[in-house]
Amino acid sequence: MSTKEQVQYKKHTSKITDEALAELKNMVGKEISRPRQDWEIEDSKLSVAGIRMMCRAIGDFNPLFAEVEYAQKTRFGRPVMPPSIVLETEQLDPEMEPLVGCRAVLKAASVEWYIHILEGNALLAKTYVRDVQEATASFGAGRVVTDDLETLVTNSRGEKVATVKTSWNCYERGSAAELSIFDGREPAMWNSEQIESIHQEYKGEEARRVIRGAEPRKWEEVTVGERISYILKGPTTIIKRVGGVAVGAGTWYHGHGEAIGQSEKWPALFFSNEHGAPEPVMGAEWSHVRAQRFLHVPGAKEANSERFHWTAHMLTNWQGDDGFLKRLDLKFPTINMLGDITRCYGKVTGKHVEEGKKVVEIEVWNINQVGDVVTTGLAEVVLT
Amino acid sequence: MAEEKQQGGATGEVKLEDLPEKKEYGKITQESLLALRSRIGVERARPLEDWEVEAMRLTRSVARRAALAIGDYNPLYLDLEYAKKSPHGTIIIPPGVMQHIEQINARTDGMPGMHALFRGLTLHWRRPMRIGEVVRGKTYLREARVSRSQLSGLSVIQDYESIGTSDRGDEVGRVYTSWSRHERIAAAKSNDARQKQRAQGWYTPEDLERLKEDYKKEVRRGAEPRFWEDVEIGEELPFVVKGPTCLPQRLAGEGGAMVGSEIKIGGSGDWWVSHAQLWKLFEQHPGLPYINEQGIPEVPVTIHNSNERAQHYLGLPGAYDAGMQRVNWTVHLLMNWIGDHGFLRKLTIRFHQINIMGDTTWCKGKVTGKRVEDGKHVVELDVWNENEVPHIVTQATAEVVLLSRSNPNAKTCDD
Repeated sequence: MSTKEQVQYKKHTSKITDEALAELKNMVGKEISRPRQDWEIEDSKLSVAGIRMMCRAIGDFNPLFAEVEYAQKTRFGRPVMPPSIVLETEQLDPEMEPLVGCRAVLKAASVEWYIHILEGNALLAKTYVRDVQEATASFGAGRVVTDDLETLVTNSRGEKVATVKTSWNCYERGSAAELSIFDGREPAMWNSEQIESIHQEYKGEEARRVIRGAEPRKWEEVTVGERISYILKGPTTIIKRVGGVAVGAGTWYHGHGEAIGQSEKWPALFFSNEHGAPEPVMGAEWSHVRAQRFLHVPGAKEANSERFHWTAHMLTNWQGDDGFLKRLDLKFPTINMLGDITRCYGKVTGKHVEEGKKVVEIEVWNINQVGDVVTTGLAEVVLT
Repeated sequence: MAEEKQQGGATGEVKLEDLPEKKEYGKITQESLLALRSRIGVERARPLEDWEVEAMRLTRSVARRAALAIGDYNPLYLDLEYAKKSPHGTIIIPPGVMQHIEQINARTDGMPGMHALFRGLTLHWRRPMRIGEVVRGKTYLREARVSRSQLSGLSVIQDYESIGTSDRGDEVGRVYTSWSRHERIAAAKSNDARQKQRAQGWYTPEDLERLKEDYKKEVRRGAEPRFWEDVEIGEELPFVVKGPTCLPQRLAGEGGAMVGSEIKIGGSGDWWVSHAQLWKLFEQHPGLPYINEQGIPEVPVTIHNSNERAQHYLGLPGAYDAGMQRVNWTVHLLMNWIGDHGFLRKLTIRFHQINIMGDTTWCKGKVTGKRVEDGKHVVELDVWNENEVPHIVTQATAEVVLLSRSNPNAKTCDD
C-alpha cells in the first residue's frame, strides 16, 4: 500500500446484460420477502424513538408523530407513524438485484392505505415484480428498463396496512440515457440574501399554522378549489442523509472484510474511489464533486422518494389528527439535486362519499427553485 | 483522564488572568472558561421519559447492528444458541459500545465555536453488557484547564468521567475521556505536520489482493479457553485489519455501534435534523453552521465526512474519523484473542493521529505483563493501530482477565 498525490479517477459504468434482464423478467409474479424470525419482528416493532427517527429523516415533526404526550391525548392514545413510511418497505432494491449496479430512478409511486400505523406495530411486506419492459432509447444511448413493483404491507397483527405500487426506470451507469435524466440541471448556488429569505419563509410556516392538529377539519367545510397550506423543504444538505441512514450496516452499508467480499460478488455495485478502493456506488452521490468525478453527471441527485414523504407531510399537516390519508399517486417528471429547495402545493378538486367515508380529492404538485414542476399527482383524504 | 499527559512540545498551565476577559465566540476567554469550570463535578444526565429508556434497551438487534457496524462477527454477539452455551449464557454487546454511555463531552460542552479533538479514553468494565438490560450513564466534567503548547498554541483540556448503571441495579463500568479544544484555525494548524503533508491512501489491485489475504488471517479464539499460565510475556496477538474506510462504511460504523445516541443531551443526534428543524437549530446556535459550497448553512459535523471539505476547511488530506471506531476495532482484536472465557477489563487508548478516509488500520498487540490480583489472573498488553503509511495512529494499554489452570471455574468478570 502506498500513498499517491496524483490519482487518475476512473469513471464508473455498469451494463444491463441480457442475462440480468432475463432474470428480472423471470421474477415477474413471484413473491419476494425475507423470512424474519420472531425476535426480529419483535425488535422491529415501531418504538417512539423509531418514529422520531423517521420524523427526523423527512423533517416532519407533527406532534401526532413526534410528541408522546400530545399523541396520548388523541384518539390513537399513542404516537402515529408518518404514513409514507410504507414506501420504504419494498423488498427489492432495483439497483441491487438483478440489474446489479444500474441507476434506478423512481418515476411514479402510488399508495393506498387501509389503516393507521401506530407505535407498537411491526410492518411486514411482500413485494412482487408486476411488469418489466425494455424502453426504446436512441441507438447508442444505453439500455433502459422499466420495472414495476407492487408491495403488500401488513402489520404484525396480520392487518392489511397498505398497497404500494412503484415504477422505476433503470439505466446503465455512464450511458447517455442516464445523463438525460438531469435535463441539463446544475447544482443550485445560493447567496446570503436568498438564504435569509428562505429562513423567513420557514418562520412563516408557524404563522400560517400549517399543522391543523387537534381541531378537526370537517368535510362539509372544505370547498372545491381551496388551497392546501404549502410547505417548504430544503435546501437539502447531506446531514439529512447522515441522520437518515446512520443506523447501522444494511444493504449498501458495509465495511472491512464484508465490503471486500461484496465488491467481489457484485463488482458493478462498486466504483473505484479516490483511494483506488472499492466503494458502494451510492457513496459517489454524496457530493456534487464526487458525482461529477466518478459518474460524469452534473451533480448529486436526490432520491425522488423524498418528495413522496414531503407531499404526504403537507397532506397530514392539512387533514389534522382526525383525517386519514387514503391514497397518494405521484409522478416524478424530473429529478431533484442536492441543494435544491422544493415547495409542496395542493388544491381541492373534488369531494365525494364512498362506502360511508367522506373523501376529499386533492391535486398535488411540487415546484423547485427554478420553477420546474418536479412532482405531479393526486391524493384522497378521508375527513370526519 | 488523570494519567493522560500533554504531548507535542513544551507545555504549561495558563493562568486565568492571562486570558481575554469577555466572552467571544470561538475564543478562549476568562468568561467562557469560568462558565465551563462551574460545571465541574455536576451530574450531567437529564431525566428520561419511559420511551427514551426503552429506546436504550439492549436487544438482539442492537447487538447485531453493532457487530455488523464494527465488522466483528463474533458469535457471542450474533448467535443466541452459541452464546447460550458460552460462559456468558446469552448474547453480549460488543464491549466498545460502552463508550456511548457518555452523556456529554467536549464536542458540545462549553467553549462555543471551538473545535474539539478527542485525545483519548479509558474504558473500565466490571462485567459484559447483556441483551435485555438498559445501561444508563451519568457524566461528570472532572477537569477544565488551559494549556499552551508549541505545536498547538492555546488550548483547553476537558476531562470527563461517566458511570454506567444497569436497570438490574449494578454498575457495568466507567468511561473516562479527554479532549482538547482549539480555536478553529489553530486546530487545523496544530495537527501533526506529517499528517497534514501525507497523501491519501492509494491502493493498486495488488494491494487490494494482499488486503484480502490479511482479512483471511483473522484468528478468533472462541470456545477454547486461553489459560493464564499458557500466555508468555512478549507474545504477539494475531492482528485484525480494518478498512480501507469509505463513506458508507463510516456511516454504518459510526451510527450502528451507538446506543441511545438520539436522546443524549447535546448529543450529535441533535444535529441530525433537516428542513424546518435545521433552521430552528441555527436560530438557537447562530455560530454553529458553516456555509457550504452551494452557499447553504450546514452543521460542521458534515465537514469530516467529505474529503473535499476536510481539505478545504481544515487543511487535512481527507475526511477523518476522530477515534470512536478505533476503540471498537481494538476491542475486536482483544476479544478475538481472549476467547469466550476471558474478560476484557480495562482499555486506555490515546489517539495520536486521526484516521483519514481511505486508510487501512491494522490492530496489533503484545503481552507485556502478567499478575494475580484479588484472585484474578490478569494479563497486561500493549495494543496499537498502524495505518498504511505506516504511522502508529493509536496507542493503548489493556488488561484482560483469563482463566487459570489452578482455578478453572473462577469467574473472570466482577459479577
